[in-house]
Amino acid sequence: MTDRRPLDVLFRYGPVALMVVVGLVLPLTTSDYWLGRILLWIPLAIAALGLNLLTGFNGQISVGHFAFYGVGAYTCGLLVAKWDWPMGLAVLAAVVVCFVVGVVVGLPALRIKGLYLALVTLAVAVLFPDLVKHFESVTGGSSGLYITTPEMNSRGVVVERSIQILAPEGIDLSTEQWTFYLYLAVAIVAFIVVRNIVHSRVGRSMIAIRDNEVAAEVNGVNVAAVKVFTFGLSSALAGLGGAMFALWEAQLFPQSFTLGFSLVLLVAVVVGGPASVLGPALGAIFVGVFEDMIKPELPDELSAVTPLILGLSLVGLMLVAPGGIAGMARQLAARVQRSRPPAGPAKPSGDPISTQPSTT
Amino acid sequence: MALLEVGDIEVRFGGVVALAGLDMAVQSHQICALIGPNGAGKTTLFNVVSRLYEPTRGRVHFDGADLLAVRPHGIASRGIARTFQNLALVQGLSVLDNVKVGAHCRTRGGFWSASLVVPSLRSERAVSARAMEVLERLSLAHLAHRPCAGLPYGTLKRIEIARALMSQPRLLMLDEPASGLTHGEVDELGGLIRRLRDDLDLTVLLVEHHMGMVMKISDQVVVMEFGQKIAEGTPDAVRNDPQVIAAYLGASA
Repeated sequence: MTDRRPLDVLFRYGPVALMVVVGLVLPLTTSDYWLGRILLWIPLAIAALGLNLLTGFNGQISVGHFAFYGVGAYTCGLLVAKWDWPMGLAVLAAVVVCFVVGVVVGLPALRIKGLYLALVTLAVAVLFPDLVKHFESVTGGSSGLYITTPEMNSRGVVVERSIQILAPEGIDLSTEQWTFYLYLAVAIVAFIVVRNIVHSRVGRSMIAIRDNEVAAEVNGVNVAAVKVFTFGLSSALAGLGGAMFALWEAQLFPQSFTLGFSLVLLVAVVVGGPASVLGPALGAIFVGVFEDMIKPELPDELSAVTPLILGLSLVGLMLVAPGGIAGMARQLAARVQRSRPPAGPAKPSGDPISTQPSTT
Repeated sequence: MALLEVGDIEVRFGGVVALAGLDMAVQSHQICALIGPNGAGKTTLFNVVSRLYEPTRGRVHFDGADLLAVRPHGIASRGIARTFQNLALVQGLSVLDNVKVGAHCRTRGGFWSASLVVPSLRSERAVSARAMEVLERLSLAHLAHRPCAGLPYGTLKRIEIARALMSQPRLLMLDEPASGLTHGEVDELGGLIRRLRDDLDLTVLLVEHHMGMVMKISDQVVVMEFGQKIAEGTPDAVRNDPQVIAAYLGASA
């Protein structure tokens, strides 16, 4: 139906291909120290992906999504540290727990919308670190949860050692490199799953609810079920990110999951481009570069005002590109396409993807 | 036999009575027009049949079954589709995807099959193909991949009809389809509604202020005022009803 010209293909798959290639090459060319920091952008991207599904595609605003990240992190951490669960199983359990928690929080979302819903999620975000501190006997409270496993050392003494995701025998990769590839693979699967959902019948009903709830309902969409399920799925993705964060850090503190981080996650979504599948990954890279690379370089006098700098750059970006980085790329693609002469007689203007404003 | 039967329906919003014990029936395979001054309760009736409003009293039967026992999102699968007076399209989706939303109740597939692609791909193709057929029928196929935002009003109204048709309805409810259209477009629309009725074996319930079109295409006209039916009959009978002339059409009609 549509002609696939090289430029269309480039615009459609180029960004994904570029990110995957960079992801594959990065561990081989980067020091383990930097790799250890950069690989934490991946859980962040997955959490942003979840938040974007909820806020960007379904129109439900959550400003407390890092609480779900925290629930995932602590669920996974506790299962591994206290009950010696295998890591993979603990991650799965964290995803399931977060799905349930998301559904529970999503239920009131059926009655309230917009800013009021944002306030409820704000409460969740504020509550979560306090809950962790309150149940100190289980979570370790402010002094932290150390995710360790007992191990026999060379002198035959059993000691507690921080967990590590070790490369299997025979694969010559450092822990950082192996973990990075593993996390990248998980992220790719997560993004593909979300892409498929967004382009499916379910995705259409999510977007329909965002834009016109009544129209969605009249067309047979079970609005309540879709909204609650989206909340659960979104929370499950955040939980997946949180669990990955926990396994890498091997120590959890309540102050790692405060409201400020939830807002950073929202920034990642907005900067990357709401209602774009790839946007959250771009947004997570933006936030990661800012937090890990730019912020430490700033002079000490400025360190107190870094949130202000982030905020101002956000406002600036929104003025230039209201659709975020993904929106900017889409506009560019559309402009390039328009400037080209049509390929043949009576061909309607090209690629369906780059002209759709919200489902790329 | 009456496809849609509304009996003694009352809808109150606080002190305002929008429908005051309305009785009416729409016969199968007919085009029935609902006319009356603004505020007569025409759209309220649509919203009752769509289950968006809960009536304070009365009954609604569709094909013999009690419609008030059906949840709002179950109405479409019963075979009732509608358009809206003030357009209810999904701005963020392309024309094709908007129309595909209409097939929601005729397709299956949840989060699981959606995320695993393979099983959903075939049904997705089938839906796309059917959506293109419907767009073709309404001469909209060339716009399929355009976003809805920015298209002319008359076109958007037709896209809404296309979406409604995707649910394979037996009753199509059109809320002021001719409003905002040019003279030529109204004539075309009238022909289209008749054609759709004949080709797809539809029953049409129509709210419309454009008397020319109403009188030309309707089999039956129901006149409402203050939430009640004041007259009913063929276009000719209604046109000459003194009560209708006084209430609505005006003395010079």
